[in-house]
Amino acid sequence: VKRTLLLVALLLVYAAFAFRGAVRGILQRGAFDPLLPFGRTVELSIGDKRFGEALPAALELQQAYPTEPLVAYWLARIHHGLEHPAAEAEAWERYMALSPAPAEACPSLPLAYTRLRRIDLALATYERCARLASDDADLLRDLGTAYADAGKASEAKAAFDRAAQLDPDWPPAREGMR
Amino acid sequence: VTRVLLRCTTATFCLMTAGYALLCASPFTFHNFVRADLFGASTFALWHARLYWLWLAIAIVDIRSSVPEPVRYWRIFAAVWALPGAYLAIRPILPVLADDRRSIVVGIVSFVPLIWIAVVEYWTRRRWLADQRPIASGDVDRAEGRLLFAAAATALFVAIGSALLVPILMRGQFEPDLLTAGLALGLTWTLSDAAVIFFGAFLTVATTARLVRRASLTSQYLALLLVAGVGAAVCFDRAVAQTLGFAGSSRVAIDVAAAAAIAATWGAQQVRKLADSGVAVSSPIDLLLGAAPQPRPVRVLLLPLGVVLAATWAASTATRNVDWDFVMVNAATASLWAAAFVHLYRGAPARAIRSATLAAICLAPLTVWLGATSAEHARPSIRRTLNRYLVYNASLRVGDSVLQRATATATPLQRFLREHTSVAGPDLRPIDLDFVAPLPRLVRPPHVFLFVIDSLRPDYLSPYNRSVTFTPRIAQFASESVVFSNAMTRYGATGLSLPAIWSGAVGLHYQYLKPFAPMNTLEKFLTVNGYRRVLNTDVLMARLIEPSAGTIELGPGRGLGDHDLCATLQELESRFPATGDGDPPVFAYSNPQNLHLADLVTASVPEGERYDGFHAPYASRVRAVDACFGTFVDFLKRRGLYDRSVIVLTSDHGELLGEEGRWGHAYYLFPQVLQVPLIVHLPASAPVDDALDRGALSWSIDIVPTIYAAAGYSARPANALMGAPLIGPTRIDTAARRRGDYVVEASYSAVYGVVRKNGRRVYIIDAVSGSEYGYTRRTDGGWDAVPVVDAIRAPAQRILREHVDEARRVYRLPALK
Repeated sequence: VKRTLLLVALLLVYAAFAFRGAVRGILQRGAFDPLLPFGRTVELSIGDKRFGEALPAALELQQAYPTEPLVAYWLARIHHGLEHPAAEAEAWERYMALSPAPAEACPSLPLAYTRLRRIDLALATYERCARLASDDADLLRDLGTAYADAGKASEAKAAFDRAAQLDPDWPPAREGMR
Repeated sequence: VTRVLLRCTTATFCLMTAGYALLCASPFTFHNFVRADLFGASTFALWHARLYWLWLAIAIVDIRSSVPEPVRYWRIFAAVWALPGAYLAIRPILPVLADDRRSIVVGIVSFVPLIWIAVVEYWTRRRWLADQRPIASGDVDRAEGRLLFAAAATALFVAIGSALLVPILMRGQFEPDLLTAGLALGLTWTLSDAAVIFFGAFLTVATTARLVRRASLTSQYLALLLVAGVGAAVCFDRAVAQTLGFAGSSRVAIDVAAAAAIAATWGAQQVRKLADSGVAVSSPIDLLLGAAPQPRPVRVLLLPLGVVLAATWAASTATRNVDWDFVMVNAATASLWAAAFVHLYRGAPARAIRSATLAAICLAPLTVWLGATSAEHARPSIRRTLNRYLVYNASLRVGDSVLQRATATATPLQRFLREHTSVAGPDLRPIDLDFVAPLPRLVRPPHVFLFVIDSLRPDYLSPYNRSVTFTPRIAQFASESVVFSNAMTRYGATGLSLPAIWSGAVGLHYQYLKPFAPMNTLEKFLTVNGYRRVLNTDVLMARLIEPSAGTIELGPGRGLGDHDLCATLQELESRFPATGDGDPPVFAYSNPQNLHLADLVTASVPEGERYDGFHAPYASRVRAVDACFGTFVDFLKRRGLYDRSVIVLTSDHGELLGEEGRWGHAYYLFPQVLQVPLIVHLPASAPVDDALDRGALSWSIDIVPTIYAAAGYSARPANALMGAPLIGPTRIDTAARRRGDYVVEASYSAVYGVVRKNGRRVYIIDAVSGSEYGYTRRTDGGWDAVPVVDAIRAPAQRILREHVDEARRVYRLPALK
């Protein structure tokens, strides 16, 4: 009997290991999952451009999952659709702080600041974006344009120069340099 | 020996029939293996009805030799299985099988004779089994000892075998990660994985045997056989059914039938052998795996292991070009593991092992494995080295897939993507797709030539790769055309890629929406402008285009796999329609298969040709394609048509030519499969300006709107799934094109990808196995695998969900919840 119990115990250890995915799923029950019905409602409403309907559900999700970057992303999209640039910028800032991929907030965040006529913040955010993704020619071009708009020609040239280095065949970079 | 040969022959025919039917049932293998006639598939299908009678005769002899009396057993078998033979003689089934439910039924039925024979064998020896002395408790301990010894020895054998085979298989390869430290790391992981798997198997069998030891030997044996059957079902499911894309009740039925056939055949053979030899058996494990040990010389013990090693090497070498996702080599390796385990069990000493020792031995590999996994998480370089190592080591690949993937539960996203794959249901309806609505007739449309060369890789063409010297004619053509240097396909194989090209849009993951005409924007263009069509027609094209009066069919009667560019172009030249002032414009189309892997397996390189740094047989074929294409361009120039024509040279997908040990394209979705050439020669009147961004990401779904634009239309996509013209005033903003996020899909499986940053970043998720891959493109055009971290995964998975939602929205399907 002892030997049988030992074998059963060892088998259970192996089974727990083999089905660790399911075990982990049970342990993580209650964690945020975008494919849970509530999250799907928000995501589908955004896709359907029914931003007004999506907002209350997204705010409720934010209450429940305050550190979840995807909820911040959804709120930013909703506020963008509803033309609330201040709330959009706030949501993007939260997304930048929470997300493992903060550069995803670019260029939406600086554009939201531009709509708020906060050119200083927009420029500073473009600089943040370029630091976050220093190999992204698109963001460097955005930064160059922002510098050029702010009258900072040498900084603009440096940004366009770097963009052109990263992507030499890129007409917009050449255009920017001109 | 005669009996074994008879049974092997009987079983081989059943398994080949089942295998053929199941390959037909999966759209992926039906198009890529059966229709491509790999391994002589069509010959087997054609001869099947006649071979059936030969099989029946052999099966009857097999049963008679195994069960001489009473005669009713073989007579009933003969009578029942003669009926399908008579039906097959009138209507052979295999040649007409297609990717539908009938193939699944045929596949399942093909396993039945094996189960039948096994049941008869078992039934007629039930008295012998009942007479055997049940196992004594001391015997149980010794049987466990043998089993544990076999598990440990097999794990060790797998590791030693890997140490011998890997250097042979990676000979001549430049693998900086696999120097001494890399090889030692791979070996350690192989041993650790194998030990966990075999000790897990030991515990399952030993515990079952303990739990049922008070029952009769027959019941004990059946319990173990059931465990073996469940194991076989899981292995078959993960190795075959899941990979072939079966789902739902069909998948369960196939798994159960295959596992029942395998376990029953093995079990009945064992019982027959032991009963006929008169050996007294007391352990159900002996009944399942082999009789009690006999003293044997070491060489007798080692020789079969050498054969197993040689077979592993042969399987790795023989299947590498035609395998998909390593299914065949993994299945072969797992079978060889099992063979080694059985052999080592039979040679294992019968010694009892103390409980404390047993616990320590069983827990040690699990502890090592968990430590190794933690080290892997802490140091990504370990996983990178292992990923290189498992290209050459099938044993580690099997172990890795069992321990990392097969036991993991599918994530919600995996289930979500699987549900969207091969969508089915009553809601499926074609929708209207239009780039211009209503579409007016043009005054003088250009001639249009669309050559979609299957599996053509851009890096084997000189306009895309300066190292290429064997495509001078295409280089010349490119110098007179627009070369889109960053082109990709949205689909990883012909099945969905061609419909996407013709419709100029991403479609549903379904083959195929009928009627296709409302979505076929290229056909609408041709019809409105009265084009004279000259094209290859085959099974696939017949599903995409409507019959049209006056169509000149190139290579009539040829299958999809038979289209050859040179023959097609010669025929096109000889049958080229009149092109006088009053004549309609000409549209020519071909999807030649010169470079398809199915056709490449047997290809050789002509004497005197050298292709250093390239896959020589493939490059040699590209050279031939180049010459034929150049000859046709000369023909157009001679006829004065060249400057009045849109000529598109592209491919429906790329090809893997051994990158990371992978070959082909159908199942996979890697960067080499996604990248395609796209060279467009435009008529003099076409709207092209200096600001054209040739390096921006372009897609094969942009070809048709570009043809529209070249002809003079202002083409605009009507939804987010449609392509956009690459030229002209309505072309999409280049910055938006470079910034866009795009979802790509495999045609025949639930493998999806996200292409970002102007094609420099690719994320891939295999929703079947749960694997993820990340790639970054270097400035020299090559690709580096990168670890998939949350910064890559999180946005990519959001993009995938949004894409699926958008696709279902556009095609008016209910959203997936």
